[in-house]
Amino acid sequence: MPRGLSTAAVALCAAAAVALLGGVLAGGPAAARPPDDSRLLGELLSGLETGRTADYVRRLDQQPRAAGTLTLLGLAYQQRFRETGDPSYLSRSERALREAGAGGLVTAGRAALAATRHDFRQALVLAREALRADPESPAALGALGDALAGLGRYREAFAAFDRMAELAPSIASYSRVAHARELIGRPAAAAEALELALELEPTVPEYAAAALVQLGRVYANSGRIGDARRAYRRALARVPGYVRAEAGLAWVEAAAGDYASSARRLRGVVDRLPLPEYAIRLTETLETAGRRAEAERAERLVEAIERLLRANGVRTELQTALFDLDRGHRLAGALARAREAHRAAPNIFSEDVLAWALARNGRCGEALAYSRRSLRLGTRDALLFFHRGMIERCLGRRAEARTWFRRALAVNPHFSLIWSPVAARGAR
Amino acid sequence: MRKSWLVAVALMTAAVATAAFMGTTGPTAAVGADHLDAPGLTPPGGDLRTDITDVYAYRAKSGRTVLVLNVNGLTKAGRQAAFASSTPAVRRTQRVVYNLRVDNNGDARGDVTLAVTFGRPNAGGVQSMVVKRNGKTIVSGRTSAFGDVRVNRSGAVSAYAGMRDDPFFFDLNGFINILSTKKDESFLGCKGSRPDAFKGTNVSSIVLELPAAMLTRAGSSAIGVWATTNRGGVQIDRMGRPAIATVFIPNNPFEAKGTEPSQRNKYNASAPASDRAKFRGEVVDSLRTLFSLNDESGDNKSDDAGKISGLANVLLPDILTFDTASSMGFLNGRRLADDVIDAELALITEGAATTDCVKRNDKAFANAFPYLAAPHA
Repeated sequence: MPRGLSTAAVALCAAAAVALLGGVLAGGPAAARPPDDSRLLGELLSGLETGRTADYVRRLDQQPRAAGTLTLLGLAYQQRFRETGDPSYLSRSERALREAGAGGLVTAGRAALAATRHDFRQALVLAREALRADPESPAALGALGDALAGLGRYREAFAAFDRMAELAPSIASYSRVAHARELIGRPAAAAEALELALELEPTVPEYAAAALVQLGRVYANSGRIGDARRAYRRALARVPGYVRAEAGLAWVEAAAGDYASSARRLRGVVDRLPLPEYAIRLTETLETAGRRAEAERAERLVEAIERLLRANGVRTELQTALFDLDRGHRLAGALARAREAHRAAPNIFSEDVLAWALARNGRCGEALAYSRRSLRLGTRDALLFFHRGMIERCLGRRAEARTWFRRALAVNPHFSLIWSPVAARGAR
Repeated sequence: MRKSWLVAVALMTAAVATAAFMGTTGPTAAVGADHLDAPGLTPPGGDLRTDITDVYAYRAKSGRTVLVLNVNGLTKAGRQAAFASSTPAVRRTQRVVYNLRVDNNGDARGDVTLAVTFGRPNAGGVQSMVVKRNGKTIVSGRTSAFGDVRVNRSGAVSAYAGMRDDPFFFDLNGFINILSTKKDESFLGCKGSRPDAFKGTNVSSIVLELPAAMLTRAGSSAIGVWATTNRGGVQIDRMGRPAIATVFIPNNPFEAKGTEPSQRNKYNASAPASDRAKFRGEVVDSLRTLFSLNDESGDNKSDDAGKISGLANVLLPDILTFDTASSMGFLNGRRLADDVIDAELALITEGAATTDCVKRNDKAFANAFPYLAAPHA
């Protein structure tokens, strides 16, 4: 699987050859795309890991309006956000792509940006626009599927993922197939898809590491702590110090009851990649360990991170609602935010959070309908099962509640530092 | 002029036309549970493990027939061979099958199919493999670890799969510069020798040797061979003679908007039996242009149309025709050492170009199965 530099170089030459031959055969000049873009993309494909944005910025100093460079810069900023969690890269990506003008690549990049910000309706519009330019664009199909899944239109989303995987076997497409398999309650099949993805030698080692982290999460969500730990370690072997794998290991440590190690590791993780998910886990780990003052500081960190995300156009209602609901804070406000999140992205996770918000506000009859909807794909997610159990209990149906608590624990006894003990008591 | 160029074209088509980046839901941003967090970049070009680079068919000294199906072109030295086992879709996993298809009655339809499938690689990259003839297993075993030769034998059938030196040889850069008027940039009019762009590169190779009688019908030693890769019932790629798809099926990723769309995908998904119906126009158009290369040097143009028509009927259907009783090489089958580029250049340019001045492979071929040279380490 020769996707290294020399291959890219030969590939570029060969493409140029065919372009020329095309010119010969057409009896005219080979048309019209700036070869510089191809060269830049080749570079990006073969080597991009970190810090490449500086090169593009330097190039733009010399040629401020080079559309190709602006496009790549816009895309590279999205990768920088992946790597650093610094949401200002999203705004920078938006500016660069806007200045880059029109075109399939630009539009697909804007679609991906919208999906990253969880603005799925905008992502859907842009992905479709990109597909009009190129109906077989794997990038646009990925953004389309992400947008449709975000909007709860799973049948169409899965069709987009399938098409993408056919056209572009890759970690990007197979990891989406794996995600879909997890959604339909087939974690073993999700793990298989990820192992198949790992056989496709990636251009960038970070992609293999990311697939291994996703694999770790599939195992973790199934309560398979040892398998999860092994997957995270494989990721660290590919990319030493890979922060998402470190976060996974911290999760495993807390699940195993080693809160001190977990908190230590999570602090390092949050320093390097300040995503709310990690700060929330740190907060919960410290709370569980009884370190209240530190937990409060971590909680304020969560709020600061989310403010920063909002300032850069990322929707955060769902996450903040869940965080408050789990702590019993601002319950009415959390319900309003859950409704807002559900309006914007009516998928099974917003349905679940809305159900949980209604239940925490004592409106368990309404909650039940949303909980049912959140489970419509057959997803085997312990948290969704637990929420259902709490709703059943609230409705006075103790036997049903016990059944759902047991199901939650059967799927993953470590599903939540806060709620696993509650489920265990309720399952008795 | 072979399929690895198609890989290249696919690479660039994807890279240029389709946001190589998807930057997608990268962040663990707003929700813990619903984000995907998949990597952004889609390496373009599809799965090179199912991208056929070359097909060979020839008569071995043993009298048996050797068939070779190569994929994963331009592999760097030292890499373990890789064959696809299966591909995932949301609701199913489909097997990947490497097929050598044989027509033995001249109707351009497969009468014998040799289907090779692989298992998942172990820690050392070695995979199980099974070869079936028309659905019935004829030999099974394992792929070879890098540099090893593990021959799987059953009766008179031998099967090998693993990394080998790419037997293909060609001055690719000289072709890229075919329009250049600068001295020595193109191979047009070259004398002596020129560089082989595939020197030092490896391919994942499937090599079968079996009695011709397992391929022919009674009373005739003539067959036609082509290879396909399939995912479930869907054909991913195919190849017969070297270069046909690349040269004749428009696949230019840099075509201006509004020009004819590439028929590459349609071609790769098609069967040879429909080649003349679907693609003869493409071939004739291309040949007209290529035949005009020598017009300025005083070619008699009046006979071009007839020659083109005849040649189009030779080139399509895209099947490697082979008399299993003959040891002759290309256009009778294709031997590893055959200089197919020179043969085809002369044919398709009406003599305007006759050689790329690359006469042989960078490694000598072996006398014994699996015949292809050891891989570059």
